[in-house]
Amino acid sequence: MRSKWIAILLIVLSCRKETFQDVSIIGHGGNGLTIHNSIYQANTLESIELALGTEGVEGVEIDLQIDLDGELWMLHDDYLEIETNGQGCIPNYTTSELEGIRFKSIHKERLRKFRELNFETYTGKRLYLDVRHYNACLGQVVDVNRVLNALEFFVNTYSNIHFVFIINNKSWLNNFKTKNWKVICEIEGFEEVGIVNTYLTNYDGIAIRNSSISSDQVQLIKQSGKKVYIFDLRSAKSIRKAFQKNPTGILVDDLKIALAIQK
Amino acid sequence: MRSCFGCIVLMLLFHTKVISQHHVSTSVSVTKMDFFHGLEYQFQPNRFSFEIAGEYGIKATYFIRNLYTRFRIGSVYNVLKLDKFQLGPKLNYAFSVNKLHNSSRNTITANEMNTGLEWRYGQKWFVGNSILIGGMVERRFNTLYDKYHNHVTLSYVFQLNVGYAF
Repeated sequence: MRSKWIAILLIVLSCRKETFQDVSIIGHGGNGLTIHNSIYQANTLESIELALGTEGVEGVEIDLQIDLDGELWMLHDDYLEIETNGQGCIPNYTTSELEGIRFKSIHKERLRKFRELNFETYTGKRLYLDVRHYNACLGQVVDVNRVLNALEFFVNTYSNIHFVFIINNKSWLNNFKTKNWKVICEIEGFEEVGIVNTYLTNYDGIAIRNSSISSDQVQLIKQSGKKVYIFDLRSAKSIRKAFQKNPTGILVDDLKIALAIQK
Repeated sequence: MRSCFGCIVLMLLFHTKVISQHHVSTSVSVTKMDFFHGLEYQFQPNRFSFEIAGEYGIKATYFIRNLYTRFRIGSVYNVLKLDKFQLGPKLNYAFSVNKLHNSSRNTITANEMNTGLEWRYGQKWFVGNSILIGGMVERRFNTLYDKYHNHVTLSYVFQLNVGYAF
């Protein structure tokens, strides 16, 4: 009887916890997008600073949209009415028309301009900027040169931060890369890697949903010198699976779970 | 009709049955941050009931292998105290500790205060349920500013428990 208990104890003790220190943890929209236990609304100053200030978090992904005056705003959804008290699409408004819009969340955080972030305090952090290329209200692609001009100010001014651009419109890839910026291409499936290569070959990596890529495919892309970022991770199970694929980084919605699994 | 209703209410309020003062129970709670499992001790000298509990986060502990502990004290005033049924408002305070990372600076502590209703059915063996809402202050170290920040948010508790009075 005693030997049975000793055997059980040995099995429990030998279950060594996995650690994934090589994988970067990136907050999706700051401290997470649409998760019930998040304290702040995604893409707000509060959410971004909560995530960036958490030890072990390498950076945050921020969704950017450009208005008629060339100002960049932080919002994930195409339509303002989904999560704010505004209506319509950011690309159709002037800066003054967007001032004062607030999220419908508990804290009623303000819709913020990208320039309102406290960039001086983010030294060494990575900001993964997901630049929205589409005006859903007009059904048109946004002028890439206006976006580049708006972004150029931040890249040139804040050299203390590593800016990485996530692009999901392949025709924009080359425009960003000619600026010599770090460019990640968001793709739907592994087979799209070949299509991306027809647009540009010196992009820096890909961003892909967890369910759309296997561990072997991650390694294959990494062997070609590209970085792999996995997103769409909300549950503990999906975060652990993404860690096990050993990508460059994971864009997570629940940072607490990711940090606890990583340790 | 109105006086009849009043009589029934008064009857219910003052129809107090003395049952055992000491109770132990086990509970499962759904909260904003995790599902918790815990053990409680309750002392019920009169209509008031006082409890102390130790809990752990089920999701964090079992699925993430990260011990997430929570200590709780609470009090219920049993407005209704019948032979087998009790019902009353409850006030609950909880303190939780969640160490996320190897660094001690990533230990999140939270103070939580909730209020709501609790009912219980049974005598020696009983089942109970609490539905509470309130506020929570999460305290985290922010490496950007090199200091602790408090973050306030809404909280809720839906708790089921099974216990024994001795």
